Amino acid sequence: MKAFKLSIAFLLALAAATLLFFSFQAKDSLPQLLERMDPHQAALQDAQMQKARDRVLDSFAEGNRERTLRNLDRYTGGFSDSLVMDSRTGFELFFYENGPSLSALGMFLLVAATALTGLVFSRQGKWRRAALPVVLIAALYAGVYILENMVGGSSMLMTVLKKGAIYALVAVSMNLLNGFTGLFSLGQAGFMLIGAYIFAIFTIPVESRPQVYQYYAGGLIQFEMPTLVAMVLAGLGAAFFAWLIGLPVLRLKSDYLAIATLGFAEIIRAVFQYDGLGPITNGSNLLRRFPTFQTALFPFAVAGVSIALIALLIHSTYGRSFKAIRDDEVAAEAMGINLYRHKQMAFVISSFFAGIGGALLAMYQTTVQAAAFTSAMTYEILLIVVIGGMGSLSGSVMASFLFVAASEWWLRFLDNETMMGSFRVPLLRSGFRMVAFSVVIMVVVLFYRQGIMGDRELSIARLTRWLGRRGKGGRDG
Amino acid sequence: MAERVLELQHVTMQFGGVVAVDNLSMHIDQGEIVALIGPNGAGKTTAFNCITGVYVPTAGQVRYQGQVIVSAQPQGKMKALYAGSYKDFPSQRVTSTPDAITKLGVARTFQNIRLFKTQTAFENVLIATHLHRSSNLFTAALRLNHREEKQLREHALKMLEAVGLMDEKDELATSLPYGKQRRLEIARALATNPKLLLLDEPAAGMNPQETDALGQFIQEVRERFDLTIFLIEHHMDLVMDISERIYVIDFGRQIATGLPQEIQDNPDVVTAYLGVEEE
Amino acid sequence: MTDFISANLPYLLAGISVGGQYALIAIGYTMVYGILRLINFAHGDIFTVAAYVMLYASASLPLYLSLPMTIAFTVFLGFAVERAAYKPLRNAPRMSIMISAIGVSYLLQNLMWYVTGGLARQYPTLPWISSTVSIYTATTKMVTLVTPVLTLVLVVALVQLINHTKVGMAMRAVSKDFETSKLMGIKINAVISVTFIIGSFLAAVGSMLYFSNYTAVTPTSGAMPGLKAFVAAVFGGIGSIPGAVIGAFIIGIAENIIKALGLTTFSDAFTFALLIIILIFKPTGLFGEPVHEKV
Repeated sequence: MKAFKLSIAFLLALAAATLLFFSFQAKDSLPQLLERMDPHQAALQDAQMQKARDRVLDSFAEGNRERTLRNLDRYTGGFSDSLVMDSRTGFELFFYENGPSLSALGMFLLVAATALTGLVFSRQGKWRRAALPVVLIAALYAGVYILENMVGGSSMLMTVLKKGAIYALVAVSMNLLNGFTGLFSLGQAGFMLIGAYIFAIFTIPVESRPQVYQYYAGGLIQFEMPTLVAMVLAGLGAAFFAWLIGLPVLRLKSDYLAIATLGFAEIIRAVFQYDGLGPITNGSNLLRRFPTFQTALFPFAVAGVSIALIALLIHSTYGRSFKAIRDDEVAAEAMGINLYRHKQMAFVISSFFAGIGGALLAMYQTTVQAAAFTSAMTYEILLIVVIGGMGSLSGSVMASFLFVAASEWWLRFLDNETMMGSFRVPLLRSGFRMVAFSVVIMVVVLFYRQGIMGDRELSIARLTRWLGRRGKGGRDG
Repeated sequence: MAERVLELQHVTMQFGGVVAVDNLSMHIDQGEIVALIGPNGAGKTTAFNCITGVYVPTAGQVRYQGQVIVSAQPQGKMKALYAGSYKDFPSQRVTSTPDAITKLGVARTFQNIRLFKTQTAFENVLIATHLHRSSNLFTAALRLNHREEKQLREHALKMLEAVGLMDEKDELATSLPYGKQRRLEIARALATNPKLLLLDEPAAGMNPQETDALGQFIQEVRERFDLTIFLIEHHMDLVMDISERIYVIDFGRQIATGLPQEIQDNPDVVTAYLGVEEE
Repeated sequence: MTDFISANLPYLLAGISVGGQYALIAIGYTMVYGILRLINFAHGDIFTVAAYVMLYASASLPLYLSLPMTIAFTVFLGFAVERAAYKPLRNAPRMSIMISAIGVSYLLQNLMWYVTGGLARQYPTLPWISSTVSIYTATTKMVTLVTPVLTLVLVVALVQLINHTKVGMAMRAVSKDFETSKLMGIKINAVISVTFIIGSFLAAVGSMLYFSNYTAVTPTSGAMPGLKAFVAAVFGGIGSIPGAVIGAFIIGIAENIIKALGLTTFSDAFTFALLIIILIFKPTGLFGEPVHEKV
């Protein structure tokens, strides 16, 4: 039975791999396909046909898929007599045209294969507990991928998902400090700024630097780094600054940390806009043309791995020490926990991930400007943490997506003046959304101090129990 | 002569105008159970806090196993106040943070129970085992310290078992009844592998039966873990029952010391506790 | 010598003046911290709201009405914020109250943005104090001279209030020991309200002086002076009123010396560098007393 299931899983994986392979390959092969469809270069003789073909190629070069498909349809339909369509070309054309849905199908099959394998191994002790979450996470990623291909990368839904993932990482990193170690830090925007700048500065392609640094003769730095290396560097840079601040401040009462980090975030914003640093930071001008991400899977992957690392840390012996400090500093110290060392550790780690979050935010925005990293950004992140529940990672993640969706999407209408017939809806105009938002937040802070999750975590067992109770309640009622 | 575990020399702790501990000198030898008694506000807990590094005393010295862990000369305003009293004292200032002192092998409990309130009983003890860890941040986060983690957990369970709290191990520490919370604090202190255990009013809030059981328990723990015990206590039955020597302080000053029998008959002690009858 | 003085006098004057304005804000921070151990993050925004109220009131009302109205509104706002956002959390962990303060700050900023449209507005010209005077070689506004005098008068009055009245005694008691004062029958809530009222009153006065000098008002223009005033309070020893005042003057003057040196970008950074330095060498500030936590 086990062998049977495993072989089915294997076949599914194979089919998935085939689908994915061909759709990915077909993605870029349209020019060669056109070449092959017209072996006698009929297009060159026929001006009209040539024009239609150029239109296909132009829209393809622009990266506009919808227009390419339309033009392709016109080209193959209008000149079918002159075009050769052998089975291989037809096959590849099919994959080009249906790439997104076929690769989505591929991802789905892959998840099914993983699930099946997980099920088989979940019977075997050690894997049992790991299998289900792994499958769910794989399904989540597949879901994001499928969605992206269905609704298009620039849709509001995908915008929310991308930004939500980035905010989730930053909120979790802040929760590590405020919720799990009991340290009140307000420097998140400052550390994100450092991360974003380090990332941007080191990844702008050398050939683009003259345009980006146009007021500073192309800037000082004349090399570039791979994206992931720059991202780690972004984290390390933020962590270094955190370490510096922590040296004096973390030996004192925790109140001073709040004000010192808030002040630090303000200073760093001014310093990065300082004209004298222009050759590196581009002064108060935008940094742009650095690599960005094409798919939502990238921020999901980076944020996912980072959050997983933080979660592992929190459940390790070090995380236990953090929580002890949060609960009772005096008792923690009496148990031999070095307060300063552990606080410094939590602060540096939190800032490291805030730096990575900053780099992701830069990629998401495609441009970076120091002026945008205000204390209001820190406040937003802090309020996300509160809404999700201090001391709950899953709460922070959920609250991030909720917050971003509400502020970017669902509550947008509050900012627009609206007429119902001849009646002008009162209050609705630019800025009302943020007011409504802050009122909601105050309500949470004052009356639902536990937030969504309190200090509990979302777990499958809890979820099924909750659903079960719900179900029962429904029947009773 | 038995090994000297703890020695206080002329320890004074003054807060503003209040002298909480006044020129206190005392010592504890290996394997002893010694009690520090005195009326409320006599400065007993302050003395504990000076030993464990929570406060740096205004002046005086504390040695643990011969090593100076705290040594202070009057500073600032206090200098004039104590002019001449500490001139033979070494001028070098030594201070230790509480965690450093715990690492040396001195563990304590608190008068006003300080458990980690969001953690279960087991987690409370597990936190205290961290002194035995050798894993670093990365091996711990990436779960490469599997074997060590298992040992820590077993050690924590052993401590819970020693205080008889196995059945309550997964309950929230603060939801336990008072007496069990006190036992849990002892288990937590034991998990740091101390040689000297400081108990701050372990029997506070217990009824006579519980107090009796606690006395036996303290003696058992001493045998089992080869400990030296220093306790503050108000329950005289318990103190007289288990302690081998007693120090009595009042208004921060030592007013008597000796064997339990001697203390019971000491007129100064009786006055301190009951007050002087006015004619 | 004369050249040196005439070159630097304007900066010194500006420093003393802005120092006095910081002092008026800093007192609000230090008193609230002394009593509630709360960094009132919304204080800087209350300061900004005062500027907007003055701006709108003076557009349609004569000065003898708009001025008291601004002060009354600001005082009421300070009182209302305490009652609505801090009082319900009296028994909550301290971090919750600070988060509530941040929430209030966020709300006030967004509200101001909504009402004003986010554009910088011109602060009204107040008669007399906005007029120009010349001292020695420097030309400056009257407000520069008025501020330090007014600040000192208000501080002396406040110190008298705290040291010689019943409510002042209650305030001192509450800041020494919250729990015990409660047991002694002091009406904690009334004392706290008075503290917020005094703090907001001084912030309103400070706001009038500050914005007569720096006339552009935006929803976030109070954030930076607010932060600096808090640093001044820490510098002087948090909880100590004379400390806050002296700290504020030092910061105001030092900041303007740095501007005189041509390092304007770093004048803000300097304030926080100063904070870090004081935290390293004297964490209790110039006039603070060490606190012993009860164990």
